[in-house]
Amino acid sequence: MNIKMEGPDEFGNAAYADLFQKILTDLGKNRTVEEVRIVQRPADPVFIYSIRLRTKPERRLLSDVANLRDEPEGARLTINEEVYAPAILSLLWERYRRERVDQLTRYEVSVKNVPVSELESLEVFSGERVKNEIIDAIWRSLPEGMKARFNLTDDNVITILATEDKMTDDLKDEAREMHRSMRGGSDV
Amino acid sequence: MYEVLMYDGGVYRSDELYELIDDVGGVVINKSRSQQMLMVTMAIPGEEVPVLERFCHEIGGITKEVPLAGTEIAVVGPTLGRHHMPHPICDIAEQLRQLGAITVVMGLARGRGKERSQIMAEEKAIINEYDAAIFMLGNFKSCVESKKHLFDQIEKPVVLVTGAKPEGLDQDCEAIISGIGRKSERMRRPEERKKLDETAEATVQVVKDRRRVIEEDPLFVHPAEIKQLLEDIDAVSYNLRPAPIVLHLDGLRVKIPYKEHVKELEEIQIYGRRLGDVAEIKPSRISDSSTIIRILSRSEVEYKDQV
Repeated sequence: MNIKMEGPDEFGNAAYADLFQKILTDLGKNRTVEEVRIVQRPADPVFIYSIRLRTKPERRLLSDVANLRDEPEGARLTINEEVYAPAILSLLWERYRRERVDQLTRYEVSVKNVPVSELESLEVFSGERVKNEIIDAIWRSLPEGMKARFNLTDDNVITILATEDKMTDDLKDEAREMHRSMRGGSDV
Repeated sequence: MYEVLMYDGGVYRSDELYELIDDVGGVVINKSRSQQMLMVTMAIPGEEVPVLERFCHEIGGITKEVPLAGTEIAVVGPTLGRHHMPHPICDIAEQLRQLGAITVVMGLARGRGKERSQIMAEEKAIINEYDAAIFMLGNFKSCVESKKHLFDQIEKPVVLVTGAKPEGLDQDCEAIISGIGRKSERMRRPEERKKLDETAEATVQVVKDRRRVIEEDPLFVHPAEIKQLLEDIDAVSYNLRPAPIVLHLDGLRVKIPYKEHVKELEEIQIYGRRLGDVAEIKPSRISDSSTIIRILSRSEVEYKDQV
């Protein structure tokens, strides 16, 4: 991950680069982020965070991450990507209650009296969740008093402008320009 | 004159230790027990310190100097939000606790922001109840410099802890420690531990200076002596709070309601005088369940007698 800081306060720049990196590590999102650009002008005060993710976060269905088959007593799942196992179990427990969901082995799960057709299209992982977590990281990092905020989000770039004063058009234009450059020059 | 020591050791023969403290006219300020380990902070008459040290050694413990014992210090952050709490405010509070201070962590109600940060008169009054205040501010020089109003009217000594080193604030606080700022995790690395030590040293120095000022016009009675008398009051002895009496440099905080007990407190006899005549007793600004006793100096008592 590459972090680029811009601003007149050298100590603040170094401290916030370190802080943001630690917050991302804390959330387990270090590898999700490709590039971070942060503009800090504490005297104004204005803060702009622009983040490019490595890939566009994709929505994953149960049929994408597990093999499903019908058995006499219900559906049987074989989880292919273990990283989704906790999410699959939570989803099934919530929907069918624990009595009907049985984890047979590390990768095998059975769901009583449910056909495969009902499970196939369940959403295990929403792409929006990654973006929400990155936005959470930015909010944790931004100074607490910067309550006026302007957000720009698209496939894999998130930009947040925050200030304590009025949100002017000039500031919004600056954020849009930063967002455009993080997208590689294309408009939002 | 009383000296403050900390016993650090096992619980073995601790009953004898308490008896000895009592016999030499000392007082237990604080004790904390964790399984078989025991830490006792005590105020002992100066001439009896070697006796206590010898006994502590005999029962397998050690005695430590606790330069902040008998003080209550507030560590203040701009808010209680996760941007400012818990790190490094709690790390600083813990560091001071290890040196014997009772610490209180406090967040301001409207302290966030650069231009909008405020401190209320009520908050200032609360901070003024403590012996010293540590103000923890952020990473940006211009922000720190613009938040002078948070602490410049605090009557008690202030240690300012910041990220970037501010300019022009030397007259508004007793010490400035820079290089800490906002953190999202505990201060564990050697350079961070060093900064914590630096903060603790500055606080010790500030407390020493304050003690020296108090000694120029000594208090009518040492707070530890009043603590002994207060322990006989039923409301205090049955109090379930972990530290019902907290010593201050110039008095005490006793955690019993002011309205119900003010008369009883005023009538306590000390060196042939009513406590109400040699101390100022007032309700704490924090809550109705605490009372602040500020002991008057000898010259204040003499002046009062003449009037």
